[in-house]
Amino acid sequence: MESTEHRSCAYGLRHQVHLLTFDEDIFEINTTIFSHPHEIWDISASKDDPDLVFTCYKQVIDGRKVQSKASLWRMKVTQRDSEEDDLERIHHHQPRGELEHVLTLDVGDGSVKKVIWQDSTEVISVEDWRINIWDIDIKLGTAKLTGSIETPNRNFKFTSAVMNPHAQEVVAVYGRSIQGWNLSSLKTTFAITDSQPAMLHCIDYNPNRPFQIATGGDDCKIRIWDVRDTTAGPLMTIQDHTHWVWSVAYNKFHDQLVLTSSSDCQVNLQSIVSISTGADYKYGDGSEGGAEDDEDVDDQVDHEQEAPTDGLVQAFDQHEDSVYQVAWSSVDPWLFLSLSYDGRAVMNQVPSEEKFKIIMN
Amino acid sequence: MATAGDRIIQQLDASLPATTRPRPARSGTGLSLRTGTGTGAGAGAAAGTTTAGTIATRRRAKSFLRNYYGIQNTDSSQQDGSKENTSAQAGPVSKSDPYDLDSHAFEVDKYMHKMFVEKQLPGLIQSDNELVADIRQLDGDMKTLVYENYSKFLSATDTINKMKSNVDNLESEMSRLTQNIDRIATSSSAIHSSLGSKREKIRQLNGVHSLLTKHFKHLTVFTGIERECKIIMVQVAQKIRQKMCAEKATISEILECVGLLLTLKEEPVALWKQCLELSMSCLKRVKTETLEHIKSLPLYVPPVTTSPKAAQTPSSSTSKKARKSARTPSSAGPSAASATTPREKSTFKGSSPPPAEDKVAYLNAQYLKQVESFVVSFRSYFLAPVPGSARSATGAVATAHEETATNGDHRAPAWIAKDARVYANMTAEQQAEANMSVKDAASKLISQYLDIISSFLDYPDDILRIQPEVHVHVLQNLYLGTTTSTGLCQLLGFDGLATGLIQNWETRLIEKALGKVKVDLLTRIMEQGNPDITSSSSDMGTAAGEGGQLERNHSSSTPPPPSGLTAVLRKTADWLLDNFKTNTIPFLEKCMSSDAQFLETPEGRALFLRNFQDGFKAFWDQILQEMQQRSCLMSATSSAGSRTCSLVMSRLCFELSNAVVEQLYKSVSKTLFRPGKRNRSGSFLIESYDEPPVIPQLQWDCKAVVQLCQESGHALLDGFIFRTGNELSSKLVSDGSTLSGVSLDPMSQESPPRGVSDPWEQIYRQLNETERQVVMAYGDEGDDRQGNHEISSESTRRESVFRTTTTATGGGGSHNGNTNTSRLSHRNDSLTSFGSNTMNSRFENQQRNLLLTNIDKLFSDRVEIFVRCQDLNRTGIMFGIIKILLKAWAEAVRTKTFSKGGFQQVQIDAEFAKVWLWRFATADERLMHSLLEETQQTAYRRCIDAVPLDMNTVESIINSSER
Repeated sequence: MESTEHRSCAYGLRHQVHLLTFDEDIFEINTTIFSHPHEIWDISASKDDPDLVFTCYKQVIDGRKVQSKASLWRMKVTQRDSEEDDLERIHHHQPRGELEHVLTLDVGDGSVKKVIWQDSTEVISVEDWRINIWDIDIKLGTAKLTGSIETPNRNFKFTSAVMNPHAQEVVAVYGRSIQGWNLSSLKTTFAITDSQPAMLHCIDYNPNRPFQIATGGDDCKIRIWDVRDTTAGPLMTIQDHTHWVWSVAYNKFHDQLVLTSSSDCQVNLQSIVSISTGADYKYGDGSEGGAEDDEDVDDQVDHEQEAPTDGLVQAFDQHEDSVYQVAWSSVDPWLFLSLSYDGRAVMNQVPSEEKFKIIMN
Repeated sequence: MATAGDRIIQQLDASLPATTRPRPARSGTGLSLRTGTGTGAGAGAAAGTTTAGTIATRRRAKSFLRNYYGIQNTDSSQQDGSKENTSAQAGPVSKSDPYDLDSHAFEVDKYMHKMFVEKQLPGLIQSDNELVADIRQLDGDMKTLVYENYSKFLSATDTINKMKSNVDNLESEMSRLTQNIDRIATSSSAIHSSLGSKREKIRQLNGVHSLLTKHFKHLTVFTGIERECKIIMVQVAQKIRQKMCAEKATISEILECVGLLLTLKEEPVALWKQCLELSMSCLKRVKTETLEHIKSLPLYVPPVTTSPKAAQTPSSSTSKKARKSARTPSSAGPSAASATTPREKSTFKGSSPPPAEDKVAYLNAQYLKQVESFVVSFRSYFLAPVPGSARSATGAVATAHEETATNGDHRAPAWIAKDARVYANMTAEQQAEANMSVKDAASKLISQYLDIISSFLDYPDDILRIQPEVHVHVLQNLYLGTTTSTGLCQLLGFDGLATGLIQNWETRLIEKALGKVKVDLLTRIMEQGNPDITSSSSDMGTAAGEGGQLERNHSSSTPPPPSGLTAVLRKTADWLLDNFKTNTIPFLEKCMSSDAQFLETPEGRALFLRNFQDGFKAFWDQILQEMQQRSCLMSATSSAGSRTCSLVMSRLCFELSNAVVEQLYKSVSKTLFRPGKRNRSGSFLIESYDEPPVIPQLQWDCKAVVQLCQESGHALLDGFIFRTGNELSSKLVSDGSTLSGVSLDPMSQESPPRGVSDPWEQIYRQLNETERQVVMAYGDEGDDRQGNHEISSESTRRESVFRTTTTATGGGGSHNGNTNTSRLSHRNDSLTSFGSNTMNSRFENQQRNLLLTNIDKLFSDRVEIFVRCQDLNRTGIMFGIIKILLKAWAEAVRTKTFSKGGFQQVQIDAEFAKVWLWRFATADERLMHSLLEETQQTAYRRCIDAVPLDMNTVESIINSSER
């Protein structure tokens, strides 16, 4: 239901798209509201053009059939009437904008649940029973299906998917299994099947370390996997939630930070430093730092920072209902937003203690 | 004038005759004086007269005195001389001057005459006065002198007296000295005389020797003799070698030969190599023969025929006889000995010791002893003999030989004892090499030996089938073998190896024994997990008595007739206890108690118990692990039976942690760990129930295991709840649509619902089934125990309320013995806030509803769905499942879009759940209601044209689907 882009986030709330702009200097969030014709279930913003956004929405056809579709929109903030009204408007009315339809990914049975941007011309849509790869032309407003991956098990729908940031690969979860496909050849790259007791809901790919993915599901557990050895079991299993995990997200800058959200109304910030690239840096710094230590003894005493350790950094419990999405800011390494069923979006920051630990180390 | 001394002496001289002699002698004196002074030798010349003699005496006395007082003659002579000098002018006149008062020739008359003549009266008077004064002075001087002399004389007398007494002592000392010297003299002479003959002999021998060397060296006879001697020696050595290398040489023969060759100063390096080689081949032969032979022997002969106590008590005495008898206990049985001896003789040319009846004893006697004697002799021959080991070496060899001697075929060689001192002189390197080689060889032999021993010990799956006596006997023999093989122990640490083998045996035995229990237990659980076979546990009738007691002990709250799974669980626990009491512990006790000397030592016993303790702990670990594994494994199959199974296992874990584990540890403390010597039978029975506490040594273990059981129980139970909950919720979450399957999309349901949906029907059935299982496993005491009467009665009321407002339908919820008579609508509690009696009103004001829900949530506690189940009873477990189910439903509804019919179905289902699920949710009814309410609200919001059913319709539908 939400996604982040540059310094602003957009999320869909029922029939609206809200563009939140966070101003760091005055520490204020501004909301721009765009109305959307249908009930939005997922949203994803283009990395290249901050105004372009895909929404997945449900549409009732003929009053008896629900279809999920995905469309690309361009957000257009309507000009304000006059300057003098601004002050009042800000206080009493949120600024509004309009969504300009660009294109729709036309799918047969209409069960799109997620759209992933590969680049400005290629997107991937995740449906119940297949994953489609599209070539889109934003200017012409056309979309062409170039490839499609069927679900490997006819009993389980795809629940989520993620792009491998290191390779041309899409990794999807269905049922209790994880599987990866090469985007060009559409061949399976790896498969971890039925390796856990409960259904999977979400997946994310470590942005800095290839082959590492995180999944969350019905058993309240986050599992970190190394996809190179599919039989070895998870690298790490974290359980701090007491209900299903709906969303998991690696920090784009410090992949030792993982955010999870769950229908137990909590957002958890986890540190998995021991298996992150942070651990590698630590080793690298260790050899260099040895010499410096002698000189900076005094400094160290003053600014002694414990090294970050594995485990729950903080549980954020500002939500009163199930938290279905969580996302990191793509520009500020410490900022993240979570969205719960009751329509509340909460922006949080990594606690400064942890921040300093990470920076100092 | 002369000195005072001179004058005194002169006066003394003068006065002496005056005092001793009468006056008339004066003339004589004057004469003698004259002559005396005339010449020094004049004394002798004048000896003819008496006066001259007197004068001589006087002179002697005078000189004596002079000497005494240190006045030398020279003085007097000098004085004389000086007088002569001074009166030189006078010359002979002064000498013979009769007028000089001091002169010898003084004559009173002439002097008087002269005085009278020469002097006047005043002069005379003056002279007279002078004379008188002189006389007085002289007189005084003389008196002083006399007095002094007298005192000196006294002291001299004293000294003389003292001397006299001292001399008496001296005499006795002297006499003793003389005696001693006499004695020395006599003994010296005696020595001399006694040595005399020998000296004579030596001298003679020397003479002979020199004679021989001098004269007969060149004689050919002697050279011949010498040569002959050498040849003979070589021949002897050859003979010995031949004997040694003979095909059938026994080890003792070889060793004897080696000893002889060593005395013949054979080259030691080559010798030890040959010795080693020969001995090895010999021992190999012996081993083959022995192994061949023991095939026919029994492993263990029951101790009836022999007297094991007497025979097997370790004879610490050095008595060879005793040791021998200890090693071959069979010799005590005369019949056995006589039966086997001839056969032995035929097989072994009689060179073997009397055979033992069983394999190991025979092996020890035949093989191990030979190895030992070889090692001992080798060490004493070629390696540095350790003091004491030489003795034991001879002892061992001698023992071996004595035994051979008892067989009558072999002479007991008398040389052997003397020969112990035979020792090859080799360099340190050579010795080290020899040591290495013999160590290698011997360790090979010993490892073969130990392999043979371990091959006697079998570990069948059903370990209880083995006879512990046999194993113990085998090991006992091994142990005895080590105690008698000092040489091997010293060389190789043979005792350590043997202890290792024993340890290994203990570990495996315990492992097997416990493993059997484990397998049996798990088989039982698996069987009982399947309710169809629950009745098959009839083989525990034996345990009934004790079991009943135990039951009463640890769960007094249990209702008297424990039905179904509860009973099965009890039985399983009892079976476990019983199995330990009647099988495992006695079995191990038997192992420990049967004459096992290696277990009788404190260390041996402690080791065994240590092994048991470890094994016991591992046993629990494995059981619990296996249970969890199986539980996980079964979750894949997810049949009803398998779920029950994990429920049963979890219950069993709690049961174990509650009482059984501790009880078992108590039993073990009381039996195996009981201090002191055990008697053989009956000790393992649990006679009384006021059992002693777990001994401290085991307490920690016991606690850890109890903890572990608790943990496992929780894990299993949570797994059960989790799986059941998930299984149930999967019916609601997935809309049932598969790619190929039929779609149960709530959008497709157009017509108003006629009854409760199929999934809910199934869920209800399954919940009831699950509850039944839970009650069977965990009992139904939850509500009562928690004092939940109020809640439960309240919920009854709520439910009842709902029912009575509607048309009362017959029967109803007669489940679980709760007969409800009056029913009121439950909307009073959670729905009254909407201030409307119609069903519609609940869903009408959405904004307000949302707000209220959110405020509700703000103040309500966070609900944790997947948490450890703390209340180990029906209520707790069922509520755990219900929580998962309802939360999942609430979540699932959010992801769907409903048609009118779909929403109404949800409405019906939720109301159905409220009515029929309350009894599973007595722990927190509010939560159930709020979840269901939320679900309905969500469905309402997610419905494209929501028209809620009215109360009556809902009721009638629910009541129509009466169960």
